Amino acid sequence: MEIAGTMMVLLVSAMTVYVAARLHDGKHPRLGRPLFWLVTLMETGLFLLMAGWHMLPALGASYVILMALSYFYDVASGKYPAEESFLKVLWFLCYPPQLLMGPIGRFDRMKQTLFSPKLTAEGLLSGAERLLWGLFKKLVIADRIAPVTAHLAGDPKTYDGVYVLLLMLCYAVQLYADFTGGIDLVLGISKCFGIVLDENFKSPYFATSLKDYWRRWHITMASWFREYVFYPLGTGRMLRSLKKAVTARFGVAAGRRVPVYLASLLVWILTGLWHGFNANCLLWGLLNFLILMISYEWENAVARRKEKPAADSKGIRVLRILWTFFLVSALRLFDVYDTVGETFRAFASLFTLRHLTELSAGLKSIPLGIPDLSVLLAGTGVMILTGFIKRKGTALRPVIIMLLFFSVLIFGVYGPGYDPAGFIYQR
Amino acid sequence: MTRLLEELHPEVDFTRREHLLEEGILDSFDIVTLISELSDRFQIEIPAGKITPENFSSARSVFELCEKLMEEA
Repeated sequence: MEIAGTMMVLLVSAMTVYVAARLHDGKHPRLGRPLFWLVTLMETGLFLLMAGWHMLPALGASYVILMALSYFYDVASGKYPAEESFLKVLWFLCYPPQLLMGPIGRFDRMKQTLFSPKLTAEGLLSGAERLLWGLFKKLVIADRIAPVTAHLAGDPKTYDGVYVLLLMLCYAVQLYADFTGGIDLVLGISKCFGIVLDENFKSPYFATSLKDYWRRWHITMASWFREYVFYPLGTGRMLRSLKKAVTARFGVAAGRRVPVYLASLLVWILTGLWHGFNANCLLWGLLNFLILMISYEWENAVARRKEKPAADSKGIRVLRILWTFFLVSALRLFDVYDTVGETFRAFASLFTLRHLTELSAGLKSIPLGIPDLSVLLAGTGVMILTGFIKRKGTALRPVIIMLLFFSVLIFGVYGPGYDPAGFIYQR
Repeated sequence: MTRLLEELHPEVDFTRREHLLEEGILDSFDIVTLISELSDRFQIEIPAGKITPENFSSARSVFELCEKLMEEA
């Protein structure tokens, strides 16, 4: 029922943008604005419908709706002509691997590769390696650590204080392994068939600031909101008029901030709600906005000193990376706790360092045996190493494929006694 | 043009620097601020579709973009 309903919604979404794009391309100038609003409201309505039915996770509807909108907006802005074939638009939107969790593709970039894939032996092998690496991260690491985070987050009264730090660390590993693993799976399967999709991650935990992090994590989502919300709104007439009014009243410095602040605010409200139509996700978005604006003001203040900043020393760089890691992990607490209140209380309790002295005893209550812990640590170690080592050449590929295949087979978390765990970013 | 860019980033020499967008010298906040100022000063509309690495690679390329838009207007 859920699947049938979702498929109907996806079909309606595809038909809406296909027809609207064809009409727009028919060069009826008067239709431009009405079509824009019709499509935006229709797709938003479909999103809200899915959210209301709690069906957003089904078949990646959230991703499809963003892709549908990007297709129409691109045609409307004259980036490329409307596609004549409805089936091609439908395939672009509903290409199965992408339905899991993105990446959020763009029609012009996907068109060539999706409709004329180039099958090669090299593509098949590199795709297979990537696919297996994704499975390794998901089944060996993410699904193994998932019960630990669930256990810690499920009882916030018991597991407060330093346990919150442990939870942050565990969830950082779990989410990274789960989401990047899923994307590796999607890109790997596609590569096997000669289809090249956009990358979605670029060593996100090496980010030196929250701004840098959002250029490395969920890249296709961040660029979607930047291109289709931030830039149009920030450079549009409405905010420019408001800027003029604010400048007249409060001066140039205040006026200049108007487009940046207000466009960013909308971006982060929408980003939050897109992740989940609830208070936790909304507040997560708003906190991202707040931190980014504080950084913006800080950077402007530093730039006004007119000195060319010296390049960060290695030590400073490491500190920035650790601070950013702490920041994004703290923000993600909204993901693991059920309510906003619980999240704030947990975060606040972190600074009391409660349970620090009894931590080693308390850890025994966590559902993770020594064998599982060993596999987890080894797997996470391998994952971290791959962030530092860039492999040259493909000579080792057959060995790596074999190692990954058997690791997934032997150490993967599945089978009797385990619940199949959905991908986090499918939620 | 260079003066306007220097107001955003006094620490950068815009008479020489290139690949401003690609190398992250100008970020998305800078782009929005810059376009907003240019639109007001030159009475032009710079559509979001024109925000490309090529159009914003240097002070000169931004200036050329504005000239082109002024001619079209």
